[in-house]
Amino acid sequence: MSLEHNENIEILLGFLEECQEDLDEAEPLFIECENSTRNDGKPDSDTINTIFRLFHSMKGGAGFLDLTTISSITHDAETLLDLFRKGEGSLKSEHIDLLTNTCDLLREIIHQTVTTYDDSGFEVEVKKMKARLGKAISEIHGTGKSLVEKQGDATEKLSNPVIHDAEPEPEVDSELPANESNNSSASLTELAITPEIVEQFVSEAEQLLDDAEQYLLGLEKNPADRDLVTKAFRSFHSFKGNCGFLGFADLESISHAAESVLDQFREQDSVIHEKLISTLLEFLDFIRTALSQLSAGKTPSIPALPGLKTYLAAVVQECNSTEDTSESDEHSDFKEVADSLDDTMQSEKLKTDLASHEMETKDDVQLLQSGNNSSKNTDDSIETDKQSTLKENNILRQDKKKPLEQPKQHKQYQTIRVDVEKLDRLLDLVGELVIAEVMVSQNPDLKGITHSMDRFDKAVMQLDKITRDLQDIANSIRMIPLSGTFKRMVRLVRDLSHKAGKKVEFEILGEETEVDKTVIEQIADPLVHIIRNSIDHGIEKPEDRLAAGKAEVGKLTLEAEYIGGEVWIRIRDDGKGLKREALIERAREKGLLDNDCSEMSDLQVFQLIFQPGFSTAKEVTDISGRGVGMDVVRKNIESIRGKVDVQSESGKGTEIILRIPLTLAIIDGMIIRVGNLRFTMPLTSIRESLQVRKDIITVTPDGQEILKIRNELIPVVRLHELFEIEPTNTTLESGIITIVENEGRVAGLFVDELLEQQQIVIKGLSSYIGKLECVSGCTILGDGDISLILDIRGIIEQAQVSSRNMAKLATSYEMN
Amino acid sequence: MQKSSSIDNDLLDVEYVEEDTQKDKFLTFRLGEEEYGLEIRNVIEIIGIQRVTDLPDTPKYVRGVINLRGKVVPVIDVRLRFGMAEKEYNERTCIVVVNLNEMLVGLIVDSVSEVIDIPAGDIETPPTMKKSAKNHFLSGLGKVGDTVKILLDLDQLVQGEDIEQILEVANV
Repeated sequence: MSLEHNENIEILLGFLEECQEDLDEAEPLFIECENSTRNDGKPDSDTINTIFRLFHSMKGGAGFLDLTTISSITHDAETLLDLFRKGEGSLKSEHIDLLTNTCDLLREIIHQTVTTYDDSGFEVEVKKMKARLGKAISEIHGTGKSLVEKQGDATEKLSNPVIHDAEPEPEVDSELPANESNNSSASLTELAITPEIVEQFVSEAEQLLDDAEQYLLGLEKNPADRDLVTKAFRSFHSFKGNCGFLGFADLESISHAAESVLDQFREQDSVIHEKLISTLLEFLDFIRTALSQLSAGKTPSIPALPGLKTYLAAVVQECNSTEDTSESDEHSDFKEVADSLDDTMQSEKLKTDLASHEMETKDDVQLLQSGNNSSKNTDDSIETDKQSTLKENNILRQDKKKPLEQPKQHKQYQTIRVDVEKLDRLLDLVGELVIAEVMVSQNPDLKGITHSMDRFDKAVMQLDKITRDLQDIANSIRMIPLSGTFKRMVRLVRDLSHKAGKKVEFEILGEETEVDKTVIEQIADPLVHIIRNSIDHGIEKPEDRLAAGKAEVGKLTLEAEYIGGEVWIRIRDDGKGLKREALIERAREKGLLDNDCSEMSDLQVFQLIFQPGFSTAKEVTDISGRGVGMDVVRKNIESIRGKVDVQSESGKGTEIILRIPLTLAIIDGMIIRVGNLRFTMPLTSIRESLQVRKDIITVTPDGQEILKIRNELIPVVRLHELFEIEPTNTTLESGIITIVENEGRVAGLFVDELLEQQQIVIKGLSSYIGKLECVSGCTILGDGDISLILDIRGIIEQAQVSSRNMAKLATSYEMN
Repeated sequence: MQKSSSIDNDLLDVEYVEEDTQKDKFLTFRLGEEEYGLEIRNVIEIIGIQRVTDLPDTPKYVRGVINLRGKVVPVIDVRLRFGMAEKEYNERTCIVVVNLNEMLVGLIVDSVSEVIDIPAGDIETPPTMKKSAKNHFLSGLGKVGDTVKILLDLDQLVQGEDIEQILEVANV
């Protein structure tokens, strides 16, 4: 298939994205399997089935898109999984390793394919992986069947339908030997089926199904209309023919069943029962679901097929038996149905036999089998209770529920994929709309109007409400649950704990918590660092834990929750915790601390682990048990305006809390005035604002002003000097001092006036300006003016650089 | 956009027309006594002078940022960029908003004159006789009737080195 057209590339990229999601989903399931295996020796069948399905759909999509590498490797993994699914092999830890490694390789391939649109170039790795998979398969299988040889199969495009053909044939033949199209289908599928043909088939099929539905609905009103029966029959018949041609066995089989029912009424005089019509309509729904699989690039399959057929036969029987029994035709009818019931069951047995014999057909048979299994029990009961219609009815009720519920499990969320750029643009526009709305509602021109403005005010209120709603929705679009990121950690914990020889029980809580997309991107790395630290240095070896009187298995919890306007992500372990003395000692050695630290709070001591110099040396981590890459953690979290807190108790464990604001685009700001300029300060960094008296001001010889407030020495930063503005007030007593805080450092900003507190939309300064020392961005105020957002951290830093003496003073204060 | 492929003729025609209408066209503006020209394809719009918010820690010619319908756009005073004397803004002062590599920048000029055609044949490379740093910003000299328009290299004007640095190098 040529991938020159954008449309195809889109399909390809869509598929690759799906693959990544599938892999993301599969990985934690592997771990889950491993855990459950450890507990009771058997993997959870639901989990294995889910994984199997994920791989199967990847394989199907890859086959459709001609991604031979991906399709062949997923095929092998699927084969292996299948063995565990059927309980033929016991799932061991090395198998999990093997399969997770397969996932890694697939990720690599996908990563490349996203840019090159081609999945070749991994021949060596793929060969190795396939050899390993093949080995695992043959070990389990024991038969020594050479699986490596048949790997080519999976790469053959649309090889699956051919396989499908093999199974339903006996059934079709036994029921309707006259139908010729089935027999030839196997050879026809040898012809190349291009995506165009499939596309055409789908659109034609939709038309036919719509027609059939119309006729059936018409029949419901006019059950005696023989013409409608014939038309409906014809629609099903044409559809069946098309399916046969393309080798979609499930579709063919189900439409055949529907067709045969209609056929009976075509020739007889008996009136078609209402119940039968609704059953046939349900069949149409199943066919449609299967068709949508086809449009999605998968092989259409109806897992509930056998159950459906049995159900249909029973409905036919039921409908017939309710008719006048004196009619002689009825008996033969009844018999016919009973025969067909037997046939169905026979064919199912055949299928099961085929399944165990034919390795090639395995994957596809599986789909049918899963359907079989669900209907098996009820099938048996049908057999025994065949004569007693009443009882049967009850069971059939249950049976009916089953096949109807099954497809629902696969029902996908109604979502569309949208280019992130478009989303960002939407968010920008909404931001601009919010500003524009304020510009209208608070327009200075309105002040001149003296007459009543009730209607205007009402309209503005309406506009305001809609704007806020729109803003909320736009923001929520970018919100993504943390589950994806959290699930990736499951694998990390497993690998790390194996490597470190530690036993760790990993618990994830609140994974449904949603955060901004940017946050997701920014917290993955910090989480890895923190979890690595917890396992490497926090949680002790099993024997040490036992010696310390703790449970052998360490506990690591990853938890997310909304607290106020923030999302808190906690990483908690019950390891040995941080040792205050060791941290201080280490900091001294590194020259990070130079005075007496006995009065430092634990919180301050723990903050030391975020010092860049603290983390690099290996022996530091040996002593402290913490520190690798923690400065990276803090930097990443701060870049999304978050905070990192550490709580720890020696010997009991450590908890690291990442506090992240909910939205990145909007903050609560305090607008202040200096001279004729208005600046905005993030409200979160303001501790208090006050007017000062002369007696608390001290001026150092080099001119630095210091305030003594409640026993605390606070250096003053005159904003007008920093920004070179002509201020209204020049003496500290006449203006306002706003005490701001960042990472434990405090400064008093001297401003002229506090104006108001409001939500502001953060805008970046142009890339032309680049990063400024004391400004983190800007916002547009209600009157259209631009207000710069002060970078409190930068200002405090600059203040300390500008006055070395003061900086020393401030630092020594902090230490004390 | 690949212009070489010839499948979509209709689409390409439109493109050519657009290219054609913009080709050889220059927006001229005045700084002091001289007329300058900018290629029209970079020009987004021309607005009157409006309130500019100062930025700290920026070169003097970067006057600050303006609010262009909700977009924050930095503005450069071209006079100061060229090292010319500062002039008070008046009602004729304009901000020419240009798009340079998807980045919007406003250029403050004394006044905007007109849009004119200067065919490539009438453009001469700037003479290198005088070692003037200001030539750094020139892309050519356009002859229009009796007058000469100084055509500017927008890239250099906006993102090139600071005039002081260039002068320093020239003096050494």
